Amino acid sequence: MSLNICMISDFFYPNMGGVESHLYHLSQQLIKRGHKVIIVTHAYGDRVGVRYLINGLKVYYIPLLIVYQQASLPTLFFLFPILRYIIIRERIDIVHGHQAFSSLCLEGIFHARTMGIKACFTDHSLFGFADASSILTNKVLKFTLSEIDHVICVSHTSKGNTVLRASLNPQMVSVIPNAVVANHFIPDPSKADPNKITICVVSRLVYRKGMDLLTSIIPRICTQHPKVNFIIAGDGPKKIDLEQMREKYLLHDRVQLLGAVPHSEVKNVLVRGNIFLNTSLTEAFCIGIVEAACSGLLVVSTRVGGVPEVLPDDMIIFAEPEENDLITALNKAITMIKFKEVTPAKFHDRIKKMYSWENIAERTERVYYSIMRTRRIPLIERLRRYYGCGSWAGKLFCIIAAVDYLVFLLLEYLVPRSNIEVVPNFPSETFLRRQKANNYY
Amino acid sequence: MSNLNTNNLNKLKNKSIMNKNNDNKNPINSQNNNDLNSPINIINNNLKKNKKNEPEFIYKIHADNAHEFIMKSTSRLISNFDIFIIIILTFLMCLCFMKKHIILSFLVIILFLLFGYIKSNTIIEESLLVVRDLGVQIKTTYLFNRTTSRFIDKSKIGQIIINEGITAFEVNFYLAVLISGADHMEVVYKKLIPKLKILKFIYKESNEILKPNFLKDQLGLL
Repeated sequence: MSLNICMISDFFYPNMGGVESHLYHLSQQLIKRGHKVIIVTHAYGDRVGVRYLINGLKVYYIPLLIVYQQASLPTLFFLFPILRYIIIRERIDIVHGHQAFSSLCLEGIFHARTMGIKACFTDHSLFGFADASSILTNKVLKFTLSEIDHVICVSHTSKGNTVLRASLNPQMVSVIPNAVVANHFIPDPSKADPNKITICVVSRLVYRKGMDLLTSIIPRICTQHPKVNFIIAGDGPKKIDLEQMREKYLLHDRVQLLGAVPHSEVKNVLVRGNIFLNTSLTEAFCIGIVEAACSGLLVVSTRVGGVPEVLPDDMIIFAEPEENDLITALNKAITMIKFKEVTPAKFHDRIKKMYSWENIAERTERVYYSIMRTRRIPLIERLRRYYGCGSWAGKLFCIIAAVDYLVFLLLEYLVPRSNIEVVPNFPSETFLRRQKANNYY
Repeated sequence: MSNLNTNNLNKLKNKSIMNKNNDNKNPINSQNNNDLNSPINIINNNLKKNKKNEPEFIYKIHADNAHEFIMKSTSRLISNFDIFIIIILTFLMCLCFMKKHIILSFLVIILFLLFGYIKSNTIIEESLLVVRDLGVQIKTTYLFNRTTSRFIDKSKIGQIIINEGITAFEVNFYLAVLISGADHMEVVYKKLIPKLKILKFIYKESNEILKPNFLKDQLGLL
């Protein structure tokens, strides 16, 4: 059975990041399995309107106001007309939202549920519980997830976190991890410097990625081991700290700061190293360490969040997120590389079998089929679910849901369904067949 | 005997009814016409079902190499809303004359003129004329038969395309001409937007006139 799926998120290309590439690769694999996928996101600068990516993946760039780091302004009801128009013209069966930080996604799920369309949500990051922004975000998430058909998390730690934040029933949360395109990360032992041991760090240089820890351990490692070099790729507010540290300890020839590197060039940076270092303080599922292991590096990482679930024990060395423990782990890794106790180049074949986008798409498709079998909920049951969100919030959410239903009825009268033209589907099968015949795949 | 005759008659009747139905099923009914100058009306299937006033599509073949695709508005020139506004404005005018307010009467006169200006910009017809070896002409006809037209040379035409665009609360299909050397494309039907069936027909015909053997590369969307 072929489904029509709509992926909604604020974050898509041309913005670069984990959520964006997850959306793109998952959509491509679902199209190859025979479904129809469209993506709805907000406009990036001049890029407004409808665009086609390869294999007929349609992207709608809707003009919305952006408030902070590519997240759009949460207007409650102004998104409804255009979203309803898109859902009807494309005959959407399932709406799949990504990333809790994106208000477009949460609103999209809410409006889709008002229209009776099945909805699904994927969470890509961990959140705290204590500070003000977390409390607000968690309440909004509780509102949206009160009435959702299924939730997907990227690791078991993330599942526990999401279930607690949104008070969900754990049986309707699945764990489907991220994946990596193994062909893009092929190891190349000739590129690494044979006389030295190189440690690679590829991440955004922000506080939550543990850059303070990195700044303090680099001088100690450099004094202890004279043959160790560092390559650091990425950009962010903490870059100044790293440069200051480099000036202070005169490590210009041993620490290289590459700045922001586009995703297609990350592989060339990784193959120059022997060890990959990840010092993040919180992480739901670190796709960076999978890419590094795929490229043939030994991984040293802090034991936080969902990181212990990602790689088998012989590919990764753990440390607590504090200075001395990281130094011990790095020493162990350097010894293992120096005396050739492990051959990281062999990791690639194992990772290729463990993580692939075809596998992820198959598991997601199973989730979609299970969602399609559920029955439609009457309005009173929806209001009951919203009412249980809290003593004050429950009543407020009920009001919002009722007004949304009235807006839906108004739209059905003003813009009747018979006036909306249905879009002809892109002939993906013919297109893929021709690609195969021309040996593009 | 009479039964057989009536049966035959019934069969004949059914046949003729079926033929008529078959004619109507074809959405684009073109009649062969020896006189090349008279317009060939193409029956728009949707026009019968619509309760609102949808624009009408007319396909004129002026010559073998010149085809014109016209979208004509079928709504009344002065709608109910316009009559309402005129009544309110005349009422205000009378009030101002009776109370002898000069400034307010000037304001009402300005409102009248504004209303007249907006009404004169309503579009009653939009057409695309395609001439082989010459190019295309996009013509819009406003109220009181005022026309503006834009001609695009054949050498400058990249292609005529159908694309989707996001307007305020809708997503619509539109027809556009890509002009090589310009930074924006020329949208053909701006206000009287035809349905997808008609757009596909215009797309196929105009591209065949401008670039013969064009349809070989299509993936089967037509």
